[in-house]
Amino acid sequence: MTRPALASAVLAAFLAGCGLTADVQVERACARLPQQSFLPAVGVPGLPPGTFTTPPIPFTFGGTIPDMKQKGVTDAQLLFDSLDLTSSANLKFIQTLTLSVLPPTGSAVSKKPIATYTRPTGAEPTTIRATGDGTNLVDYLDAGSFNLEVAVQGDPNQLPTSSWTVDTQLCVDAKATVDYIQAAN
Amino acid sequence: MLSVAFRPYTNYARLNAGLAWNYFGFGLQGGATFLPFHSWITPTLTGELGTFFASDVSSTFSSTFPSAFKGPLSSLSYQYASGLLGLEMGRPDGFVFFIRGGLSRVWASASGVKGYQTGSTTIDTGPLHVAITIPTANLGFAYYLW
Repeated sequence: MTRPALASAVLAAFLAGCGLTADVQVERACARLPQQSFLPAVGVPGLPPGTFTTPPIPFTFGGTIPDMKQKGVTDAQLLFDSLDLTSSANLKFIQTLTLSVLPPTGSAVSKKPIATYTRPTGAEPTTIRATGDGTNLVDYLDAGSFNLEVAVQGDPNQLPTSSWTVDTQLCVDAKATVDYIQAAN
Repeated sequence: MLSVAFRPYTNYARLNAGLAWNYFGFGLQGGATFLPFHSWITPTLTGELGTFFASDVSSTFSSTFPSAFKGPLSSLSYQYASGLLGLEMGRPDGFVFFIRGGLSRVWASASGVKGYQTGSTTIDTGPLHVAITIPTANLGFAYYLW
């Protein structure tokens, strides 16, 4: 190792020992997906209640949250806050809704339920909020995004009979501590 | 920085307050320095508090902050607290030169991002908060009139 390289390594080690860190927090970052449109349900009376599971829904927060995979990042937290659905029709066909985060391809982590909503008896809501227990989604990040799956258990006979739309919003809290000496090297 | 210093009825302590400049903009700061010796050269222990008015730090800290906050960071104010060890040299009742080094803790907040587009997704956020520990050095002189 050359003398300047040794000197810079010693300086970097000294500064790292001083705890030169940046704590970055973004309060409640919310991602809104494009509005989804649905055709009216064709009535087939007498269908039994069942469960419908969506394909993976990708969520990304772009450049609004710290890069959790960046070198020097310690104590990265991307905490699930809530999922909001706002519909143009009432959502009385939903009995329960379960939101799960899916593992990235090749990951050792497994699919995990992060929030559940149960419709109160007799309610005919047009908005639904599923709140969770603050699951850390960092291990589920893949190139800054993660995939969610929504499983709806409900009564198909109660589906809207005219065209309807749904707006979807997912909110998280993000925190990270960056050792910026390590991040710069 | 340009400060007024005051010796509170002892030769072993000094209080100061004044204007500060940090390359990005101006602010106010105050501090207290403890000097164990009243001599031509003495070690010092200094504590400082300060605040800087809104200034543009977006390009300097672009790698630390999420990129979508470039706008809010163009008008960022912050506060800090510092602890410094140093040396003061010169006539203690007249002209003195000082050098100090230590650590500062800086606290800053920027307003949130509204309507940021990434692909087909729209992002809104609450405020961004940053607390950062940085090395600090002071180099300067003081002239005591009385």
